[in-house]
Amino acid sequence: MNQVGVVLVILAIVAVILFVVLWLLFLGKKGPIRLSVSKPRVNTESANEAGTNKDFKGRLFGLSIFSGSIFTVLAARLWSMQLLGNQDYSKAAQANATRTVTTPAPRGRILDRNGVELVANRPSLCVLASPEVADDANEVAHLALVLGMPKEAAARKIKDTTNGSSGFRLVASDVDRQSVAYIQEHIDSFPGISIQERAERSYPQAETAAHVLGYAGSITQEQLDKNKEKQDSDEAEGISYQAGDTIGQSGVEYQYESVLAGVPGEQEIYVDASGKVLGYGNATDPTPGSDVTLTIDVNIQKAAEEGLKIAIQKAKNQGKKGTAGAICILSAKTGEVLGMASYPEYNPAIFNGGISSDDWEALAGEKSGYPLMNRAVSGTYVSASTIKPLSALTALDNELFTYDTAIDCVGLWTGFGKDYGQWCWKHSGHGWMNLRNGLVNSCNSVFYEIGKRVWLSDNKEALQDKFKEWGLGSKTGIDLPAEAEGRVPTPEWKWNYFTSSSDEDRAWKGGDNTNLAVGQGDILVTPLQMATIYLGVANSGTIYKPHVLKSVSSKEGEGSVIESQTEVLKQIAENPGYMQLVQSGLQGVIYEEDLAVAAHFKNLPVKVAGKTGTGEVKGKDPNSWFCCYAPADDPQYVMSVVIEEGGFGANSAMFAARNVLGLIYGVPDSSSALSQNAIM
Amino acid sequence: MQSMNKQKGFSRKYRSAAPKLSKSVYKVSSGKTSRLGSKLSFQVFLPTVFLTILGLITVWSASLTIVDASVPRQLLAVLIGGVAAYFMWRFDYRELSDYTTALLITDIILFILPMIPGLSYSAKGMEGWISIPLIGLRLQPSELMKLVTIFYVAGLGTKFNGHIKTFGDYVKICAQFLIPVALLITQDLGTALIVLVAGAAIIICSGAKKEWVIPTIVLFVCVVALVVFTSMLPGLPHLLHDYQIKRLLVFVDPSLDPSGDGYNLQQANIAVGSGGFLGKGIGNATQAGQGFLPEAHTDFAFALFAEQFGFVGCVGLLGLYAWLIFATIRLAFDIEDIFAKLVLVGIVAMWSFQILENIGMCMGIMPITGIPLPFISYGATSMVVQLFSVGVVESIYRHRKKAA
Repeated sequence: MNQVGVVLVILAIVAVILFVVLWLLFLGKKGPIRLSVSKPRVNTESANEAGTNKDFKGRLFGLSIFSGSIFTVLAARLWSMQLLGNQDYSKAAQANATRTVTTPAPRGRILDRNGVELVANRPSLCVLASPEVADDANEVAHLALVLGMPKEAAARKIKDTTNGSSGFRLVASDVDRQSVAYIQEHIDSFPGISIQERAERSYPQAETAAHVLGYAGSITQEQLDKNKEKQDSDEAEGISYQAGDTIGQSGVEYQYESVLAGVPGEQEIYVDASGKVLGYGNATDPTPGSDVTLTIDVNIQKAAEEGLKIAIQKAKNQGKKGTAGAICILSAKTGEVLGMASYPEYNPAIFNGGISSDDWEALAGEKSGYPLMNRAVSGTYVSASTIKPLSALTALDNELFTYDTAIDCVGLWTGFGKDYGQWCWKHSGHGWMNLRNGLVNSCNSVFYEIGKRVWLSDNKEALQDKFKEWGLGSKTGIDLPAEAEGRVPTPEWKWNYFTSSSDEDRAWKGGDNTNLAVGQGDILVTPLQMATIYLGVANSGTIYKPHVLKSVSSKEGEGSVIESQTEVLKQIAENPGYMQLVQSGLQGVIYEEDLAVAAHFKNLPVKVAGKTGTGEVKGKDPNSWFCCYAPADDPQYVMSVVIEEGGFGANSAMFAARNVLGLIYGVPDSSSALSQNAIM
Repeated sequence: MQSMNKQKGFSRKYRSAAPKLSKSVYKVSSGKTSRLGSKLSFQVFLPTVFLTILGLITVWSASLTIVDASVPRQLLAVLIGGVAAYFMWRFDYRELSDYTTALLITDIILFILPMIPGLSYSAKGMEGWISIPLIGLRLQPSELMKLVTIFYVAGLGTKFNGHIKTFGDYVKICAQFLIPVALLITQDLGTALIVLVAGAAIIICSGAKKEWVIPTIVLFVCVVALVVFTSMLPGLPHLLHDYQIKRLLVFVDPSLDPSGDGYNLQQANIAVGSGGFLGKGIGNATQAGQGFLPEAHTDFAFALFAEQFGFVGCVGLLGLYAWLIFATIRLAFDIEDIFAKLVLVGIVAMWSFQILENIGMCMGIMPITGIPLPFISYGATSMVVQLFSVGVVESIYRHRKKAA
């Protein structure tokens, strides 16, 4: 209908009404203005009465205006609502009666580097109920009986509106076939109940790599708000989430949400005010998410997790608490993460179909030791002696030490005077030590001396500069969420951090430098950072960016849409001679320092270079560190291990690394020797 | 169907009564018009018939999805209303002008009726209903009080012969008028408001001076403002119910109370607006038909009508109301009897304001009140009283010659 036609019809209607009104009032034969019904026939009107009649005419005319203006106002409002505003109101009416129900898309699988499924999907039979089922107590009770759940729980789930007020509510997932069959046979007694097959996350390797994989769970209100904000702002890219959708909450599930999540299917339904479905509209099928292949090798991963448990058991056997731990295995040639584990662990399957609050309490509470935290990237620890290669490089670079500079270790180091003596771990003293031997024996006196010489040199922050140059104190940029930066303490940091202490205590002192040189005190590093540093040492200064993604497969057919590339994170220009000294020293740590340590590595077909560490934590058993790479002459694998409250590095963390090496080279550890050296 | 019966009834009566009524005065005054036309104003009768038919169609379309809307009940109401209108038409209204005291007592009796145990009926939190025992019809006496009060105030006003000369007289008539208004306020604020407007129109037309009327209106507005104000503040006496205050707030901001009155208002607006030019057609109203619009057959009947019949239908409906109202106004111009003039003024004001309030409410330009739309809304009492009002108008037309 064209606009002109509409206007003409309206004008015609208005004109007709106007004409009728005018005719009624003024133009008709008996119009009040000209004559009243019986006026001509009345002869004896007094002047007063005539006046009264005139008054009444005025008043009735006023009444006409009153009524007429009411009609005008109403007609004008009708015009504005039904003709001018019609589109908006029609849309609102349509929005009232139309709902879009989404069918979740199966998420992409997560595979290890050889295609072994780490996370897959499995069909789960779900019982759904429409909202009005909640009003029928008998039906709810019957349903609860069939599903074997308390009827209060069933009622609560049906009343739950997290999936939208009109949508179907999930009553139970993973319902057994028998119950489903019963409901389907007696569907007449279950009005408003439907059965749907949905895809749920399954974990063929159980807890393996749980921290890398992360988990997917129901989207939180906070995430929904954020998503909405994003969708509303600039170009609306990405997925628009709805309440009740599953979203990656941690690990790879979180990091690669955009490729793992598919596009949900949509079904338009027409409903009445109570939400009753009246008909169906357009429908689109869900598009599954893409499969993601990780750099993780499931065998190395399992060995790493097993190694952590062994290391913790060793610590416990020695009377240490051994509460937690983390291990990181990188490919020295690419930076690929071959294995990454954190202890305590959890089973991501627990998040399927919504986690119960009891389970959540158990996982999130302090008592349980934060099992959801991936300590390999999020845990920060005092680095202890594992930092010593960098301290040695600092000394050489700044010409504070030469290859031959030797220090006489007598146990108590008194470089800053007798009142400020610091002990080497070997209280009886190492005797004369050059830099290489200082590294091999982890002789603290040598490194105290480095700290002192740096302190007395032109660049007092040479240690910090070196640590930062190698990447400490900043994220590696691994493709996993919640990575920690760690901390490289500087005089400025100390001054600002201990604001409540006296100026004397806040100031950086020589003792801070000597502490820093041996990796004690305020320095904090993540296991992943230490792995990248040893990767750099193994490659004589080249650090590849660590990453867990290998490729993303295309949705259709073979091939991948994304292939991860080897990326150089840092290219550190170190004097090759200095690097050789460090590398030789690290090999010496394994084979020369202590026969008990060497015993574990003797049967391996390759040489290993590494460093132990024992990080002091006030009021707790020390953290046990072990970092290494192998083979020493052509590094392929880099590892870092930390065991919280594990005691000496060689007696706890080392076992985890050795277990992984045992798997890689097919030679299990045959020694159970424990080192007697309390190497810090 | 019902309206056809009514028409037949009229013509049959006319035939049998014709010989007695052939007085010369009608022949002369009505000129070319038929003899029936001299006794029955078609200008009032026809729009009434059309409006009633539209109302029945609307109730029928509502009955498709709303269980409460019953076409037979509404037909019964039309029948009762038609019979009542017929007897009113035959009745010489002029006798009523002298019985103001009796009318006031009638008002009071009507007020008391719902409090009598055997008759009172209450449901859905509504007060002031009675249930007639045998036929089971539920009536709202306050609806009837509207009409009785119009007669009562018109009777009071007639005595002044077009001029209220002293301020004392003005105060007296106002005070007498306020008695039934006060009774109604306690029972049904919406109806009280209509009576207030109708009564005020009668008093103004009775010849109250401008210099009295305008301050009265100002005073009234101030009192209303004060009542609203005190009802909204804690600690002060709440003369208005909470839901009434809420309706006022929702009127100012419809986004308030999205589940209650605000929802109703928005849904009514959507229903009217989505009707568009030609409407969605009978039975295709999604707003009312699928339950989004509450009270679609009663208070929000206009929204249902507008959704189905669109702008064209609504303008047609307004046209029918205009036809009825202006025909009645013209009769008020024509008639000489002051009592008749004032009664007509009251009825016109009642219809006009009720239409403004109900249709305006559906379109968001008036606050929500539970006032039915004359001839359209489902509800027996309203239908009976509106048809009875038409009977009054027709009676005035029939007895338009000065009292013999």
